[in-house]
Amino acid sequence: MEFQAPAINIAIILPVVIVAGFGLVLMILDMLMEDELRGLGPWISLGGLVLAGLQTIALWLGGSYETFIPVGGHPMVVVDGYAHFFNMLFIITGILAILMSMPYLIKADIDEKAEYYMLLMFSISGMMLMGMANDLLLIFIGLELLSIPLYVMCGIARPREASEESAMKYFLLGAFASGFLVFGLALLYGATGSTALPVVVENFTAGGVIAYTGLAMQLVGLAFKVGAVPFHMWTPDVYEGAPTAVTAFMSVGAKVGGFAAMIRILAEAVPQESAPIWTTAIAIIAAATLILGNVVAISQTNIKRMLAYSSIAHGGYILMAVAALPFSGDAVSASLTYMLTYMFTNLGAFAVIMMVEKSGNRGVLLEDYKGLSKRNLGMALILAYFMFSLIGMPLTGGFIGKFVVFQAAIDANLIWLTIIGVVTAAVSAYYYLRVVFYMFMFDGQGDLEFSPAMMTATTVALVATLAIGFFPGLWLNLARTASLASQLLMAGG
Amino acid sequence: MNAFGLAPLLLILPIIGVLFNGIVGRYFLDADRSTGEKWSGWFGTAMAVGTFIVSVLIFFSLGANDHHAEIVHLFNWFNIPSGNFTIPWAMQLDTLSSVMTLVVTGVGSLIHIYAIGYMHGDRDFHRFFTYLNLFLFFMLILVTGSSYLMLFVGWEGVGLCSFLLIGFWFDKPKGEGILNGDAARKAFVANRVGDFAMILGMILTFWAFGSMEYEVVFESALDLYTTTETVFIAGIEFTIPQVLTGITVLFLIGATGKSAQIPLFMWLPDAMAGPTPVSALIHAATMVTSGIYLIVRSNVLFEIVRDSGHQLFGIVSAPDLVAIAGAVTAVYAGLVAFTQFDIKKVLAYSTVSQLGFMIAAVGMGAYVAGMFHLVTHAFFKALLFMASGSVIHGMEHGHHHLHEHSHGDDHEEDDFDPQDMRFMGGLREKMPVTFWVYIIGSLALAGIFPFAGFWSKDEILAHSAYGLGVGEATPVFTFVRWMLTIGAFCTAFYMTRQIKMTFFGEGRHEAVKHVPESSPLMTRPLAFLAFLSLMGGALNIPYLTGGGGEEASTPVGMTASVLAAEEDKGLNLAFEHWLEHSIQAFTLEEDFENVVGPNGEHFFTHVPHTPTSLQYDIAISSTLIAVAAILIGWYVVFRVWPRSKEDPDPISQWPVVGFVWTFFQGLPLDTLYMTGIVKNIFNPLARFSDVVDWNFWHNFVHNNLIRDSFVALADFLATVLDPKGVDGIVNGVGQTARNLAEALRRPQTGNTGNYALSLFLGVALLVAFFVFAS
Repeated sequence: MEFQAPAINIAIILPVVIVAGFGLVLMILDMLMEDELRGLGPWISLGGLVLAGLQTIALWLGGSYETFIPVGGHPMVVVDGYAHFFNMLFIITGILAILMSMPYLIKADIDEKAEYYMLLMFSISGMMLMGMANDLLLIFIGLELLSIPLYVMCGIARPREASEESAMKYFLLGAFASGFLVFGLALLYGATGSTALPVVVENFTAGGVIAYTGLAMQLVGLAFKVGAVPFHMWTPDVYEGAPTAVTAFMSVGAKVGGFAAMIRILAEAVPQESAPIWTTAIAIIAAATLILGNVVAISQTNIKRMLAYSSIAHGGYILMAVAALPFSGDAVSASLTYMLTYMFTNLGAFAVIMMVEKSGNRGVLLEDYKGLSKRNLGMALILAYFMFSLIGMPLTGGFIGKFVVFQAAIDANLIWLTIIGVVTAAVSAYYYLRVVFYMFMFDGQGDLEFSPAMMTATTVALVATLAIGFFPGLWLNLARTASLASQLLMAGG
Repeated sequence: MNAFGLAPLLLILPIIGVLFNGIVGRYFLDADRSTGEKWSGWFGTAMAVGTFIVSVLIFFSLGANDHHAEIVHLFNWFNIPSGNFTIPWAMQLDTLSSVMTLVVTGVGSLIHIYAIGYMHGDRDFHRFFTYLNLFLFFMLILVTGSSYLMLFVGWEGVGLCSFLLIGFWFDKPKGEGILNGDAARKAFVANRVGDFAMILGMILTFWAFGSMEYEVVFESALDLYTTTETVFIAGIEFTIPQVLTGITVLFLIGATGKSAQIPLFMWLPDAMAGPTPVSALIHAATMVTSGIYLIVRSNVLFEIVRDSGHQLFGIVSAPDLVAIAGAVTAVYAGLVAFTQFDIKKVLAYSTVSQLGFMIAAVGMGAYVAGMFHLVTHAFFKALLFMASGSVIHGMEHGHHHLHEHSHGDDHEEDDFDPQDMRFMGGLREKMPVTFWVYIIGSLALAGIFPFAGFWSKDEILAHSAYGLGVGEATPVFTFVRWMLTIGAFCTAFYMTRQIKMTFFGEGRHEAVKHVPESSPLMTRPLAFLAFLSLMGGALNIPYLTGGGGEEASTPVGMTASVLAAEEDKGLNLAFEHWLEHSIQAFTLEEDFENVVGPNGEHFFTHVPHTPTSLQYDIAISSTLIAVAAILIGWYVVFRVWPRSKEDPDPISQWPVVGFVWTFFQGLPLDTLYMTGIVKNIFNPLARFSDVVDWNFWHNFVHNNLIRDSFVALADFLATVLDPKGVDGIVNGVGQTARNLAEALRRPQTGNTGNYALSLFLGVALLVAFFVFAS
């Protein structure tokens, strides 16, 4: 039998290849190199991410809309505007996470430095695959590539018990959820005869109950990743226990990755006629997520735990856009915009939180923020701005995100869901403003430690949040262009 | 080959100067005073000279271009595509704007040089040159803009610069005269009145013709007029002459503000509180002539009104009103001028009076004569101002010298004023150069042959006497003629008085003994201007053939054919031929020869043209009047000059004349404004408004109605509604949320098994939903 090499257009998947390749390089370095050279880990990762970012931009500007097709099969990978947009989000998340990790790892006495960055790079490559995947199998692979390094990273602060506990919990529950995902994959394959999204959509209706059950189980696996109620239980414990740098990375990267695949599947693998069914389910999940996330956050005293519930709630807002997907032409770009603003705001808030944190997992209670404005007005103002953005106040990026999401929901006639969204956003002001209140109204010992890398990350996040808040047109346009240059626009009917 | 492409430099160079002096001038001065002054002053001057060179190049380019206008389009200022409305920023380079740029940059350059000497040692030396360059910038926008809007940009800009420069010494302590700040404010307010009329005129223009571009406005005005079409403004139908009467009257009011004519002239004499170079540049030679430029530029509009015979009231049409305003101002200011003791105030009133001559000229359709007088006046009035500045400078130096050498004994210092002519006298020997240039300037101003002023003033008088061009001297023209003749007499008279008072006799103050001649930096520009004052008339020397009333009484040929025939005669009217390419009124008769209106009427049968021969009767009589004024002043009235400040002015002792003197010394119009309008009307109105404002608005509406009811409402909210209602709700909501949070938090046990169970329950629910829903 003659082997025929497949005609692979490597260029279009170069970003993910670069990221994964740098991960491998780091792995080898970790084994071969002396300790001093391992310190180069973050810089090598940064270099890899920048390289991947440049390649993504080049592809994006080139307007390439291509597929990666194995011999005789269906396209496994779609490289469109949507994928480019997500790739950029993941790359920026990675860059900011690395910048934050460099000082944080020292502060938290974590030794496995090169290993840490290797895991981070692999996780990012998994995320990127989820945005590009056009096949259920590849989505599964991407999800596991994303998750497994994260399990390890959560526990990297050993021998701290909370860290180990969070890693264990995350791993067990994650494996449980992945089991459902694979089960769903098997059912869908059985019902439709393929794992390729274009084929699945053709045979979906014929698949009947089996196909629906498969879809439900696929959604379980992804809803677990994005922390949607009732699959959210792991989130507070894991976020609290994991090293804060990992929490920050996970709260953005894993969530956005989950949504990237979820939107792809719902938009491409499910026919329009079944839209009423799944949108109802998603809308109910969104409502439950919004209510639970925002309400429970009120009673938290640990800021990491509070932000865990906050991130559940933000997942709810993105789910609103997902629920509007088949009925509103703006839903895709609304969800992209929301994720963009959420990324910058949340990472920025975590950056400040990491500066306040003390070694040994101290300094993470709301109490620790008392009187912060007296000692460092600038940082207090910056954190206050991020909090305002998380609430969705006008002139912040968060406002723009919420605005477009609500707009899409109304466009899709989900009035009741929009009302829940607005009311819960108002409720969220309660716990976000409490941080501001603690910083400005009390005297206390709140203090923070600066480092150049952390300041860089904070500045980038702040500037981006400001830019989105003050000049929304540019960013909305970016998201719209990205969503238009994809095959996701089944929406609008 | 032409230099029109260089035109943007006219605006760029002054702005470079502004930036240089405005930004780094201070550092240069602080680093090293004398080097700083050199840099600051000469850099500003270099920019002015640069614009002059560009102006000269454009002048020659126009000649090479057959005098055709060139519009240099810089960029579009506004562009509203939906309204099809574009305002380009364009420069109209034609023979008219070329004359103005030459005067502005030429005189401007000389005054820059002079100012280096004059402002030597001033604390804010660099600031002065910043403002001077800024003024040049705006003045050049004013004269080169291709639309009324551009003109207005410059118009407002020069007003601002005038304000800044009059108030340049804003921190000078109060002496005898008006405070600099007050003078600046007065100038600005008076100008605002005129500017308001300008804006209204521009809006009306745009409303009627849909554009503010000169060419478009003139073309469509002519077109609509000769087809006797009407325009609708605010829904009311107007004929073109009616609209244009409105526009031209509004432009006239604008011009009276900027060019200091009755009724808005009072600001100019007070503006003399500013530094003398400013008086010479802005308040004599350039800015104050922009009103004349505006009217000359709008000549087509004025001629349509004149041709239509549309009267404003009685026999006075809008252009006639212009002429009357100018003529009355010329006499009024001329009479006030010989009651003044401040050397610069005399010149200021003289300027107002001479501007009146120009306004009267352009009102009579003598556009070239008006422009001619504008140019010659720029020469000799700038000369006189700068020479007076030299005198003031000298007096100040003398006074300083005196002060240094008389320790402690300074009771005399209190009322010394270097600008008061009563302290002068006998400066002839002390400042010979200044004296001689002053004599030349005075003779030119008085209109003595062959100085520049003679030719230009004679041309204006000839127009008023014979209605040259327009066809006949209407009663309005006759009125203007006699007023201007009186004005000419006054001119010669007050200049005689000033020269005698300043330079002859013996010094009436100790300081005179120590007066030095000014530095060459100041006297050289003076000498140059003196030469121009002497020779400036050559620009437009009329035919030396012909003359006499009889030829002029039959209208001098106005059509191009007649003009061509006359061109062979005698000397060339260089200025006339130069300007006729920009003044469309001159060609209207030819252009509309074959156009017949709907009712069979012909248009523009009597439009002005000014190829005039020397009117010997006018020339001789006006010279005689001037000489008579000088002789009477010299040998009769001021034969003996009082020896001290306390002695009365000799003229006030004469019968009848003394009465006139006393009357005008009281500045009757200013008094009328201050007592008649400000005191009797404005102040009571202000008091009334104050009463209404305080008692009605403040006490009743604000305190009783708004504040008290607001307080009552707030009381109700704070004591009744809030604690029982709102707080209850808010607290209730908060408590409920916390309770709910507590309840929802409870399942979060931390036990992984529980979590997995809940996850599984979720799966079951979701799958069940999908199964049943499908």
